[in-house]
Amino acid sequence: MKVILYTKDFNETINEPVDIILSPQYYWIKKIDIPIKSLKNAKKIAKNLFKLDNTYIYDAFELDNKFFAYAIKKNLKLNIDKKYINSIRLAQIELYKYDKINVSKNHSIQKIDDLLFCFPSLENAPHINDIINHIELSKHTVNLYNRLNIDKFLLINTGIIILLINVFFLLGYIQNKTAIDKLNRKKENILKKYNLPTTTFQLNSILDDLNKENKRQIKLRKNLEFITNTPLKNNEEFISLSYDKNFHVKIKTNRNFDKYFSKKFKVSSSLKNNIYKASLHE
Amino acid sequence: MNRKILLLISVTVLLITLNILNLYIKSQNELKSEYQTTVKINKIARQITYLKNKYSNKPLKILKPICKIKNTRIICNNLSQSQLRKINYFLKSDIKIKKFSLIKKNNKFDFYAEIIK
Repeated sequence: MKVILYTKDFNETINEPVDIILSPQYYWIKKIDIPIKSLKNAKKIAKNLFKLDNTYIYDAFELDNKFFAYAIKKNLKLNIDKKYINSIRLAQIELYKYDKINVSKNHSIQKIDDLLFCFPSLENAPHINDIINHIELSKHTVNLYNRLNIDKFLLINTGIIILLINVFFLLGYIQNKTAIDKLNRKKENILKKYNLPTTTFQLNSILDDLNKENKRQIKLRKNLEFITNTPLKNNEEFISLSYDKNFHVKIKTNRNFDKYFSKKFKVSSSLKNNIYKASLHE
Repeated sequence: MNRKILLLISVTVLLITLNILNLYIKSQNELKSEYQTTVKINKIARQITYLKNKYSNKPLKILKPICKIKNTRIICNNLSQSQLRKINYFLKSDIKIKKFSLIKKNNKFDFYAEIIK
């Protein structure tokens, strides 16, 4: 991929992906002289080293066992279409090993006390065009355009709330599963206790049969009570009474009892030789 | 903060949250359904037990001295008026009667019944 050094004098038209090295004209840089143990700490104090406003991005990096802090404009406008920008880098890192380089007709970059600055061009210095294609790029890039400006406090609080919501639902899920297991055990115990089949279909079928039989028995007794309460006179009596799905009665009498029995049954009867016979249907 | 990383993390967290929420809702519905089934089964079991226990063959004991009882069949011949009271009690008792007949012959009674065991 093509590497370019982006200076104030840059006027090339770019229409292919490029790695951009920003000249020191585009950023503020400071060497961190105070004793710092890690890059993490250096990044933490980077912002405090510059007296700049919130329109800057602050970061730090380690180079040659020394820590450096830099500040770069958030809305830095480069004269290159964003789709062609593969990475943005700092001259401080990429050109650190060179003490002086001419970067254009009028400017050069020189290293003073480990920091690279822009100066007027020099006579005895290599030109950037001779070395730029041989530069081994570092891993450190500046994330200028793919950056979100969100308050960390808000982000952490949102994260904690989402975590709490997840914990709440997860605990609820575990609680529900435990309750389901308990209910299943309870169900099994009920079926075992009453020695019943496992499916509700089978249970319903058994219950239906029992209910049907219960109703039939209750009806049989009510009907029997009705028949035995037949208003007979002294000389009248039942000769026979039987039940097999329907009731059949024989009464010694010269009267017809159809009117009485028809209150509850469909009656088919006969009255011959002082015998009243009737079949009583529901 | 890197926009792409934050977006990726947000989507992942959202998916995890939705997945957990989905699991929770499913378990909630499952619990509701299981609870209803358990209550229903408990109710059916109690009804079945009640109906099974409601009817027994104990009333047969009262007929043993005056009738021949073979499996589900009961035959009683030449019963007197006083013995007829036992038949009356038997017919009113909680025993499952399939069929019966009571016939009067010469001031005596013949009784026949089939029960369901």
